[in-house]
Amino acid sequence: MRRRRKHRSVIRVPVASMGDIAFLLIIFFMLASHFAQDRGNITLAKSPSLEALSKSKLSVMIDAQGKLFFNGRTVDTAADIENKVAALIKQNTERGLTNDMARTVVFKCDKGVGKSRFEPVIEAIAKAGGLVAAVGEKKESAEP
Amino acid sequence: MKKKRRKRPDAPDMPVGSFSDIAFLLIIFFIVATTLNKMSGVTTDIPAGEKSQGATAEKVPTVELHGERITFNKEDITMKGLRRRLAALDLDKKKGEERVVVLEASGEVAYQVYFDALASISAAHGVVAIVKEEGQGK
Repeated sequence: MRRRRKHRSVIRVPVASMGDIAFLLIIFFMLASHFAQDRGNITLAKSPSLEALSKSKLSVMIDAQGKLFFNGRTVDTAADIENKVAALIKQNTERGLTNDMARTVVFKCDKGVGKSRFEPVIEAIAKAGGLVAAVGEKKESAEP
Repeated sequence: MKKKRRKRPDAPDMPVGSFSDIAFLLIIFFIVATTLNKMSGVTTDIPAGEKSQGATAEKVPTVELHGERITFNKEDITMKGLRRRLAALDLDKKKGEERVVVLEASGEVAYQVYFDALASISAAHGVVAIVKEEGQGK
């Protein structure tokens, strides 16, 4: 008796859901991405003794020209920074953030900026009750 | 004569075949544009109060910056030397006000020098107290 051969069905890869997966990935990346708010041009100071800094919603920056920025927007004086930092710390505390997270202010300054420009700003952050997180670059030290 | 049947126009289909290609292009863009850099630096809680006048002020270790020159307790020192001297103070074993290190800058000091001094004090577990030059207030 002759045996009938079964027709093998063609294996198809299910691609219909690929688009959905792709869009889910896009949404993930859009939510996870953090776009830099600082627009100024700065060269960070270097030091061998640095530690990892935690993220913060408060940032203060002084660019190479001595311009002041608070959360990416230009401000005129250190007093403005003091007021804004104090207001946002209060807001963060009311939202229930822990003490250090609510108070941390990321401070970036160009390495060439003079004392007369950066010291009043650091003082203003301290006066407003902020914890200064000065950002720098790790310098490899030749020390033992 | 038989009436000619009108053909129903087909419902317009949206071309969705290239949607996944566009989506993957967007993913590639986000992967390339996202930077996962960790910030490094110094976190310091600078006391905002006034400088206390008294006998204890003399005992507080003081780092002074004059332009490029650094002094520690009135003694000229290099940045490496400062790190060693601060480490020798064993500030991590001390508490409260005993951990305070005064940082004073006079003249026009660049942020690079100031930041390095700040990082050195912080690495030695010191609490930085900033003192302003006379005439500028405290």
